[in-house]
Amino acid sequence: MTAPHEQKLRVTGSVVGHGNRVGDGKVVYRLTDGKWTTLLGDAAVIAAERAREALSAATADEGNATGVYLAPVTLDSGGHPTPANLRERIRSFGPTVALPTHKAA
Amino acid sequence: MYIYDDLDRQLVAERVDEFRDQVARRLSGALTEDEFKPLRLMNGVYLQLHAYMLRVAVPYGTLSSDQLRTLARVARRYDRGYGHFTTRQNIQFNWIKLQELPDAMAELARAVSMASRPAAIACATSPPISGQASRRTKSKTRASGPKFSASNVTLHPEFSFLPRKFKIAVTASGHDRAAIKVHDLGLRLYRNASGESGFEVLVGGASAARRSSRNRSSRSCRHATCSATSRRSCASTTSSRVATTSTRRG
Repeated sequence: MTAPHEQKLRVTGSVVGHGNRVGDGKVVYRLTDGKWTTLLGDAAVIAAERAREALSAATADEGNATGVYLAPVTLDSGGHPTPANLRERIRSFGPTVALPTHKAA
Repeated sequence: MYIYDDLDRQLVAERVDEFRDQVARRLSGALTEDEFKPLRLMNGVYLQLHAYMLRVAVPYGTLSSDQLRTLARVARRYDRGYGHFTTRQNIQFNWIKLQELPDAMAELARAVSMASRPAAIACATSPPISGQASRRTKSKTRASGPKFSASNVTLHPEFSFLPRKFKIAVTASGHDRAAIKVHDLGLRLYRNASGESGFEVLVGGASAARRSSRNRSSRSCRHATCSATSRRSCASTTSSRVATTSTRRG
């Protein structure tokens, strides 16, 4: 399957900028000031008409984030973005199976 | 199990040093992601949905106690305390950090000479009952598949840029238990009427990246076994495209 950042841009509603932090690979979201956060709720919500411009700016910041793309979101009652599809829910909230817990020796 | 020699150890150590420099340049911004991506893929490092992933090769699919303990230590120190063994004889660490990857790879190399698995060659397979089946030509086929992969493919420039998930199968039996016709490269050891050993070479099998309806090449290799041609392609005298490219390294 083609990765989202390699697909043609198709935006019909609100989106947020996604990426992976270069140093540790963690999923990060674009803030309004151009920085990145690991909290989806704090991410900048981008309207469809500004999507192309926002994607260009986010992609240019490849020293901090890689694999950048725009993912659809819906807004909860507090106005915070939440993932609009299953893939992005899994990406944001983790695998759907229970993972082993690490206990340091 | 696979026995690492001095050449293996030197090669793995040099790979780690080279990758450490490449990671440093990526983190400093000297390398773009487009420039870095093929380098990390050649070192078995992928960017997945949640994080980077490191894939470590387990030659022959067997591990010593030291190797297993080292894998566990790497999982504890650099990942989340666990790894994922795959059906293709690798272990994957799914939460590893790029900035710590060179240290993790150095620990694998230093302790047990283990190395990450480059992206191009998925694996080399051979029949599970080689050496036990009565119809065998040679008894060492079970080892020859991984040996072919480990000795002839690792860091070979002409194997490094093959289409992804290039698959190789080796068998010595007249009864094909390795499904060599559905691999990108199928090798069958056989003996001709005069009793000479050689290989039948098939390329572009049914599940290959570039399938071919006329996939059988000539039967002309005179080498007795893959291990006898260490560091050199056993298909070196055939006329197939894959074999022809292999002859260039001498």
